[in-house]
Amino acid sequence: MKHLKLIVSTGLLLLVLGCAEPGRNAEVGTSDSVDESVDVQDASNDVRSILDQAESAYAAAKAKNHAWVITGRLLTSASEALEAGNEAAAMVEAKRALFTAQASVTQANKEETAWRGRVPK
Amino acid sequence: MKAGLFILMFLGIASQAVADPEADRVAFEKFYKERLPGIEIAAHKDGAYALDAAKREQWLEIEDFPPYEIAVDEGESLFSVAFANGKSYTDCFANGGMGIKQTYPYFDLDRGEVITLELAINNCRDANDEAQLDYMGEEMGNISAYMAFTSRGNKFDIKVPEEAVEAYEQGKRFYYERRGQLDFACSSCHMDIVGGLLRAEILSASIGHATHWPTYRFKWEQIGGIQRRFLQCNEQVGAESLAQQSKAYRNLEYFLTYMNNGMELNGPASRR
Ligand code: HEC
Repeated sequence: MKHLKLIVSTGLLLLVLGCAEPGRNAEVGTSDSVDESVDVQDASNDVRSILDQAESAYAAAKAKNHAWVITGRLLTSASEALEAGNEAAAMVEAKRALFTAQASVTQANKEETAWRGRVPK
Repeated sequence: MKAGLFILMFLGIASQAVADPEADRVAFEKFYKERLPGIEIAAHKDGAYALDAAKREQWLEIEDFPPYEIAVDEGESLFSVAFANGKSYTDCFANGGMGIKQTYPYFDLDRGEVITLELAINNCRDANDEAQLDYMGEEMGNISAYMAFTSRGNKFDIKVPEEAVEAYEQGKRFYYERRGQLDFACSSCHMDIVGGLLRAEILSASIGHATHWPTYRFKWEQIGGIQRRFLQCNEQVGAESLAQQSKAYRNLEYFLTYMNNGMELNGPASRR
């Protein structure tokens, strides 16, 4: 039961944090540029940068044997959406990937010491 | 803050220095005795079937015609086939490979790493210029099933020499660390809620987790090793699983088997 509460509350926290994250693509939307191709290029660069961050956090978690299955899946779908030219979808997936990757790194760091408290004496 | 850090570091060093696997094992056993007072420690070799009479009944009926019998027979013939160079498995193992599973995994002082039975089988093939076997394949399952069969009734006698303490500690840590999106440790399920239900499955005790491998699982429709189970237990909490026989899984198996020291081997077995 305690676990369930923990999962639910972590979930909520994830949601809140997820929403609180400023939308980086907002800048792209406010651009008045007439040249459409530049806009598309900017959007895809933005996604690339989030994806890069997500990938490096994912690699850090993996190196500590703490990677999450969901991160790998989100990274794949973000890259696929980007390749298909769907920047908006790619951005959503990339942000989720980044979020879960960061959460897994946080978990790994916390567990560096937290596990000791669970060993029976 | 600095003082706090210093104390933490000191504690870290101190606890490394006093790593005591036997004290860990005694505390582990005591935990299950207190948590499940009606169950003898020895009975946990049957896993969840030690905890539920109705499921045990069904399982005993299955064990009347054991689904791993063919694996043991095939393992026996595979084991006796000579390699291309004329040698065979018997040349690689103590006592010709018979009745030795209770000493696996062990820490190899020369290699500086944990050697499981499956890894030793592949090392033997390597040494004799034979191709490695797939750790999740039928042949590995069959050979290890035969070797386990000849070890039935023996009691685990795992050693942790000083040089192996780090590997043991790594395995212990893996067991108690929370992982995956669900944020569960092995201990969250197999200690904190042991005997409880998870999706119609009764959670077994980790004391007894090492005794009965390889195991025929109806879900796999095949016989498989303990690390295949690690893989599943990792993935069901949303954690990425590791490669079979990776260092981390071998260390985990080493720790878990040490926790089963003194228990009787009863592999191969069957499980849902
Ligand atoms: C979310 C809960 C959960 C977590 C976390 C979990 N397991 Fe399991 N495990 C199960 C369930 C369910 C089964 C099947 C029922 C049983 O035998 O306990 C099982 C079975 C097993 C078995 C086989 C038992 C047998 O009798 O054949 C082993 C060994 C095992 N787990 C080890 C581990 C290890 C090691 C970890 C940590 C890496 C772990 N488990 C984490 C739920 C979990």
